[in-house]
Amino acid sequence: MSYMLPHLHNGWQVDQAILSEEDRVLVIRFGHDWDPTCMKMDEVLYSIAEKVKNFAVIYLVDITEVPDFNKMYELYDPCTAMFFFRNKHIMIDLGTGNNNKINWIIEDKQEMIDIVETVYRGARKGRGLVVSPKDYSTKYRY
Amino acid sequence: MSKRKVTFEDGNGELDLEDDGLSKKAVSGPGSRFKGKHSLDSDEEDEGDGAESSKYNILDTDDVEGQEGATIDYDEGVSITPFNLEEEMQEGHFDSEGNYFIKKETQIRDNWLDNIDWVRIKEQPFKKKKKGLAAKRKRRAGDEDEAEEEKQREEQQADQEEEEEEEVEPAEDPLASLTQLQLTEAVVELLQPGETVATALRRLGGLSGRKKAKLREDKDPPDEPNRDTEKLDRLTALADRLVGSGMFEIYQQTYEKLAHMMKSMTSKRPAVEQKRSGGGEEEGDELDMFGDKFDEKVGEKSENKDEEDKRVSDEVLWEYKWENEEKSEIYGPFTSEQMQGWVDEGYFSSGVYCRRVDQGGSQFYNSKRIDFDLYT
Repeated sequence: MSYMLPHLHNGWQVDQAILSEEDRVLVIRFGHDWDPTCMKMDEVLYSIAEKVKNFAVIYLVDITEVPDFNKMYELYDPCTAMFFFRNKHIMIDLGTGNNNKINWIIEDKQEMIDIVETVYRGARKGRGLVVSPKDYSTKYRY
Repeated sequence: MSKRKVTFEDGNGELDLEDDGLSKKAVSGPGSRFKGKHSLDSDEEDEGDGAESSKYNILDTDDVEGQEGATIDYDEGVSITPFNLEEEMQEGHFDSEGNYFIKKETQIRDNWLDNIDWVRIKEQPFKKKKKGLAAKRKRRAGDEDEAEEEKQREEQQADQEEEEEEEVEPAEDPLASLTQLQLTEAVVELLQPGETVATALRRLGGLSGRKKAKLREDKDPPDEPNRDTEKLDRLTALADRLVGSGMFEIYQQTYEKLAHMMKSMTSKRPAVEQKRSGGGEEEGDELDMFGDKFDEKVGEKSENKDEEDKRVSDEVLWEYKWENEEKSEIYGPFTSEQMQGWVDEGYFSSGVYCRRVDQGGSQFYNSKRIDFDLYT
């Protein structure tokens, strides 16, 4: 479903997307369209895109096409999802030890919606760190 | 026999012995020793003193020993004060204990106070100043009459001002009754497509043409800016009201954004932009048909939006159970405020499993990871 979601093709577009969105959370998936992990992630993201479109917008970024952020955000996993709101990176306490990103597949759509919504509500209230409703410390394994 | 020539009490006695016919008045007041004094104290006769002196036992300067007459007035440019009580006796009196009382009339009275224009004073931040003046005046011993006058003046001015203030307030009421939606609607009416509120204010204020005029190097005379004062005032007032009601970014909102916001705010009504519908009606039947279809489309869209908007905008209700098992009883629904209150009280100290009511069969989350404050 990668073709259904909008892509950003260079660093400038990514910056513009982050800067221009005033009312909604930005969910950016960094990875490759052909990677199986990303494909599953994109599937989930696409399925929730319509439901969260009032408070979130989802973009896909190919990290080979746009290597600008690889070092900055430490994008060394096959698939990474990060959240931005009003030009600020929002951190999520997922219980995994890494609060900056989601670097595994969250299969459950409702969980994903809940996470995005929690990020939205927290960011709207000015928080830079929100706590995800579910603890992923035991489920996630390298 | 006392050294003193004529003492206050003894004087009475002596005088009485000498002449019984003397009235008590002459005896009791300081005037009884009139002839006995060396100085010009005759000038200090005061009506009030007659009564007071019997209380305070006024000291006569003759009782004070060691006084000397004035010698030289100036010694190398420095004025010399004579070593006696003549000056002090002019301005007041001593009692037998040696306390000095200044006479009322010799209070220093600044002439400029008589010339104050109280109307102008009133315009300044007056409350503090007023208190100061009246209070200060009171403190000056004996200056009570003048202080009362001032107080009366101040009270009158305060009354006048209260009347003025009451007149000003009713004028602001018309806009106060509108809801945020109505205010937004009114703002949208005043904007043009693609404009922000700030740009519209500039346009209505008539300032938009200047930059372009400079670029043209004044070859063409700049167009006369249309300053629509009425619209400008109205837009300013509306925007101000909206800021006051919580919409802080109103000045940067564009026409399109506000229209979108209005659509989402009016859930039932199909949101038809007035300008478009106005254009449709003018141009004939064909476009009317389009207008109908457009209404339907927009109606559907707004309904869809409502369902999703409810997720983030309406009140969130929660249900919970004490253990994460299927059999556990579910309690609810409760508002986010209630849940947050219970968490704060420690009622859910070990965490309960809760979920939002509108999510149906979703899994239960531990309440410790949920911040109910976000949903209030």
